[in-house]
Amino acid sequence: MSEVVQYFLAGLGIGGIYALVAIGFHIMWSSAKAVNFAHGDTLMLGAVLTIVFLDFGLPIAIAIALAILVGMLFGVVLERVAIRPFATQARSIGWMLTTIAIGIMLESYTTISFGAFARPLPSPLVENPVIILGAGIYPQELLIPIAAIAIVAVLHVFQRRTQLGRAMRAVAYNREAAGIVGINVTGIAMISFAMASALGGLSGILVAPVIQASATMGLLLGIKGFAVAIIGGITSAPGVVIAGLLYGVIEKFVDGYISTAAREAVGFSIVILVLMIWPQGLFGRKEIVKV
Amino acid sequence: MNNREVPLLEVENLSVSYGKVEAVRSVSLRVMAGDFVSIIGNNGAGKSSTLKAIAGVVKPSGGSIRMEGKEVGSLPPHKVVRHGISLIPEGRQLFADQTVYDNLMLGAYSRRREEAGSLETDLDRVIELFPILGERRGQIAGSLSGGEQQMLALARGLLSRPKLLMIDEMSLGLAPRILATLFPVLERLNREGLAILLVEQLATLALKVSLRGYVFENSRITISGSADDLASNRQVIEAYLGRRAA
Repeated sequence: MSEVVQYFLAGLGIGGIYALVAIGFHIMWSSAKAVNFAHGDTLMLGAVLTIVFLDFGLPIAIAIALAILVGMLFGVVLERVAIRPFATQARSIGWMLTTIAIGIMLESYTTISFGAFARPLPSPLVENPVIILGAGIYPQELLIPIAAIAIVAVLHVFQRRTQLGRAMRAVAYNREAAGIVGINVTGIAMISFAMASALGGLSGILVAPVIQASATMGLLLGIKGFAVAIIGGITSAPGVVIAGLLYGVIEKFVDGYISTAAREAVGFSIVILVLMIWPQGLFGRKEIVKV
Repeated sequence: MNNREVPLLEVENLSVSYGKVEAVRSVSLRVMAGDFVSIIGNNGAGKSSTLKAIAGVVKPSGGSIRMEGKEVGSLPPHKVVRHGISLIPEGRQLFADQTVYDNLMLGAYSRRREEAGSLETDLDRVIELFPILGERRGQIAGSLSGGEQQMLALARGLLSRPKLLMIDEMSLGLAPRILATLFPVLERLNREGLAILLVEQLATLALKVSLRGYVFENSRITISGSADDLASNRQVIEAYLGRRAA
């Protein structure tokens, strides 16, 4: 019993991160019909920079705020130089290569300057585990899925109750009509990348106390977050959160009952299977691409 | 307000190309303040492309577009709106996944902060024009009937407070009963001072409500004149008013 609870709660913890990453992909895709494939590296940037700023002796709150700010700037600049010039024509896919390339360069640079080893990000929430139904779990791991659910709830209200939120949905639905009513479509894309990247930086900071920060920590998180966004249905924010949490839980059970080696094989097999049955993802809406 | 001597929109030698296809060839037209102008012509004659070029949705390949004397021909759509030009696009192009109220609020998106105070008044006004929108304000726009969607598209376009309202194929897919309620609304808006540029397949109806008209043929303007003159022009009757010509 305690073993099942253990895997379930730990699964929610890691699944919460996949969910947070996937929300970022959802936000970017909605407004720009393109994503930053280096989004996983935005998490890395958030985590690594927080540690670097702490090394400088900055207080934790300021270190976190600065790291998120830099992550946000990274997303905005990347949208401007690596996506916008390549996404002007419908069905253009140059941005896939450019964003992956920038991610690899960023990882290499971080390995050189930060070091090739992993470092923990201190958090009071990983000092003592709490016991729930016989399972020991760090409060940090419980915080992550709660943060994911809270963020998607706030996003939901933001998209429905504010002019900026309505404009972002309008751009997602019909860019031409959005321009006609006076929405600056490229401006909205920039704001979306800023939001997604700030969220990415925050996600990295949330997960780093659990998995440790390193130059390459974002690689697999980014790929899995993207997989989760696709199987959840990238057009649905609640959909990708549910898919993220599920994916994390399934992963932990495979990890625990079969082996760590089987984890990725089973996980990605499920991704492929789900896509064969539901090409739009579990909760996605069919995308109408207008040329 | 109805000073029809003052030019509002001046289009000169406008051309629009899609690749090698020239959709609009050196078109010149004017809309005066308080004017009601119709553009008639067959499918593919360049009518919609002309409106889209004026709205900034497609880039002109040549010519100039001036609104109240200011060149707007190279501006993106969201900046054209701020010059007082509003396009009600063909097919309505509502934000079908958002509510009626959200669509109306998006219509008001281009307003500056200092104009925000008048928003409630303007919302009341479009709901007075189309009371059904008030009843359906919380409903998803995609669930409205065709007629209601066209009303919402008109209301959304009005909320940017335009001086010139351009309407592309309003009658498309709508029953005559619904058109009989929509056209009087346009006449009323025009009487109150709004200039209207109408692109319409139903030429008889269009010429009945408008003051002046242009006939498009093969991407050019071939005939222009007062709506009455056009309605009695032999060529126009034969080509566009066919069935109803005496």
